[in-house]
Amino acid sequence: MIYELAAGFASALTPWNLLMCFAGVFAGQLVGALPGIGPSSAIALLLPLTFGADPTSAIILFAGIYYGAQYGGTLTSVLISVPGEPSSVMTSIDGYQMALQGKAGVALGIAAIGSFIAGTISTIGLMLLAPPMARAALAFGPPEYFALVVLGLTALAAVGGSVLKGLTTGVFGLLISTVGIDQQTGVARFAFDRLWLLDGVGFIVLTVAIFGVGEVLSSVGKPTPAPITNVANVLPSRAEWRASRMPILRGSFIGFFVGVLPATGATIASFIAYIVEKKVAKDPSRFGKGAIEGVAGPEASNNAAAAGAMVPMLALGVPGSGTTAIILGALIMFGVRPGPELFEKNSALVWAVIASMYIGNLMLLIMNLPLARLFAQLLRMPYAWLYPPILALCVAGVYSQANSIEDVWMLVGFGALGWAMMRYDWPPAPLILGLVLGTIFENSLRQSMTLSHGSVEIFFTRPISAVLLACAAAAVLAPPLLRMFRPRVAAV
Amino acid sequence: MFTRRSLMLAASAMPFLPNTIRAQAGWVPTREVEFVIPFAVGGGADLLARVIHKIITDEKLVPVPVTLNNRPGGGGAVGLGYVASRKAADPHTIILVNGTTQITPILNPAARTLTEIRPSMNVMLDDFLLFVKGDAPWKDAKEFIAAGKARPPKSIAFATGGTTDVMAITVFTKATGVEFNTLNFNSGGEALTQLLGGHVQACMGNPLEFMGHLQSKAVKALGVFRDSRFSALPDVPTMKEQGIEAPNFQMWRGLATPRGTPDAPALYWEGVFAKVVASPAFAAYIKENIATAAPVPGEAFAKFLQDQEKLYRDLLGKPA
Repeated sequence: MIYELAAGFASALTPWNLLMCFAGVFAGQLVGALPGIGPSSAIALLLPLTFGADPTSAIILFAGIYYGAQYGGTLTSVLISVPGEPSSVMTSIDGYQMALQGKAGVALGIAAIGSFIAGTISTIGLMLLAPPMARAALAFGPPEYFALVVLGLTALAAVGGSVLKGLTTGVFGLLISTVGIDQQTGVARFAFDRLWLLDGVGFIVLTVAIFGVGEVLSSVGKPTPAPITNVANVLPSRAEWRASRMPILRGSFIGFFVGVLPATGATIASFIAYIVEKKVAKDPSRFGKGAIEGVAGPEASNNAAAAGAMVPMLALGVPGSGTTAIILGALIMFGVRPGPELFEKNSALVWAVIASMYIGNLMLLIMNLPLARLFAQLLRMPYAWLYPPILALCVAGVYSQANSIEDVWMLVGFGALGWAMMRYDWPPAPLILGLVLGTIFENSLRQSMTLSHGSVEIFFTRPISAVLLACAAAAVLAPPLLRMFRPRVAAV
Repeated sequence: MFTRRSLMLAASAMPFLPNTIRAQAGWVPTREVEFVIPFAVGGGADLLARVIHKIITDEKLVPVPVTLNNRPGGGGAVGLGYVASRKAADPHTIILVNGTTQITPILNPAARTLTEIRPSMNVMLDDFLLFVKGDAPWKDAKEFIAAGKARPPKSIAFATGGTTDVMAITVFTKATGVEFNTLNFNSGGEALTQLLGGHVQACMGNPLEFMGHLQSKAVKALGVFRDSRFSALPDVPTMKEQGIEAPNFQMWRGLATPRGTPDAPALYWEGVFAKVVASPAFAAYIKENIATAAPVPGEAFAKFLQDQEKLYRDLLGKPA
């Protein structure tokens, strides 16, 4: 393995491949920051341009875009509360609060450091564990996915202040997720004969509307906060680092393992990392008010998940996420047949890509620390000046993903809803969570029930699913039970 | 100033003009051409469109720029609706169509049907194969069916990657009388993962996604739905060879112009697409995707689509 890795570094360190790696992480950073354009569309757009090029360089470029985007998504979530990527929604909750408190630099800094550590840890994981991990991931059938999503849904109550409000908005998100063509039968539901509703409400549309437009509208009604003066600091203080280091570590492992499961990816990983941090925190009430752990954990996990998703792709030849599906397509275009034998048959390519991931993560760290300082300076401007460009970014981002004007109208409508939710203090994150998890929740439930001919036993007789459901039950039931028992213990 | 005499002169001179100038009397695009892709960036249909676009651009088959416009949504319904309402009869528009764009309106009456386009050229066909895990006990499709008949109905589970896979299963069920349990997933890749994990017993899929696993013997192919063996997979027997009377079932992909496009531009585009299909770059694409190049122009393509429509409606149980 040492020999193969050394050969991989030799290949990744040639000037051309270094340039490709840099171009990839730079482009990834850029598209990650723009809502609407994600890494998958960026790769698809670049794909025809790379025909005829060396496959290794092209895959290094594409992989760079993929994990680079996880860094870029942080920027807009922290600075203007518009998550550039689905996996940055959780970051924006506490990251934006930190920015309002004048700690945008630190939030971006810890995100960059956390992402670097997580990216490196999960690349090591990819290197050492890929084949056995990939085989283990195959044990996940519909019942196991269902149980995992149930665990993810316990986050509904964890984000936002009031449990009742959190659950209500979460269920509303689940309802929105049923709009459009039903995957199991191919028939449209709640589309009201509107063509543009056949695919349902897009994640990007809802997120940008609720977080971006809603935030701008609700800020307009408030007195302008004073411009933030001290933003230059991007390196976390000793105390901040101490608070972040375990969340980064936990986030790395959660991200890697969740990322390995095909079709879950960085988004669910960041949700789970956030809940875990909130559950283990000594004072969970700080979450949502600028807790640095709430930035460090999810940011580490979404980056680790990007490397995790490469595991099934490289070791099994099955896509681990939407983006890796396109990278798989690219491999085919280059005449490299993805499959279980990729590691043996194309080991030079695989190891060069792995080596480039170490290099790319380092490049991103070096690039992001000064960038964090630079972008944090933006907040020296009064926020009021930023509102028009933010709105423009929201509209352009939403339109550009499907060239659809109806999406822009939905942005306006849901933006108004976002304003109302902030005005009356309803947490927005559960709504997004419901929408994202709703589709996979419903599909895996119906797939499982089809498989079992209608018996719910399937969830409890399969060990992985049973354990995950037990974890979910514990997450919901533990806090009230603990509260019930604590006074008695004190009385004894 | 034209006089009657000069017009007559010009008309009488026409037959003597060289061929090159006469060809110009036909139609050529004069402004930018819009290539509508009714699917999202990154999918298989999008990739095919981008390959065709690259061939048109690289080989300078069209004298004007061609821009790509993704109009994704609703299984092609949004893109088709866009062409129907905004681009009718506009010969400066071309659109990618495939089996999905034909199936969507059958299931969702709100969606526009392929009557909104003028079929120009089918370019390729994708095959369907019956896959099981490499260590499955069945040697061929006959044994597989025997196992299905020996157990209670719906005992064998299939994972599918979309409506077209479901239709292939319907074809198989109609031919064999065995009822299967069908689990639907987002893509062929997800269906394959379920098969490899042993959560389902079989898949109907295109060769592309399964090829790597076929070569490593992680999966095996028990049969193919076509009249003669597939040249890329000569060892896989057809269903008919095994005594299963399943019709030829393949998925088509082609190009079209908007409804009401006049004959001259329609002919022009047929010529362009014929050159695309004949190019080495397209041949390489077909080979990499383990598909079959199948150029079917204009009228013949329209007739083919009518037959497919009947077949699809029949399989989906939605007669016109």
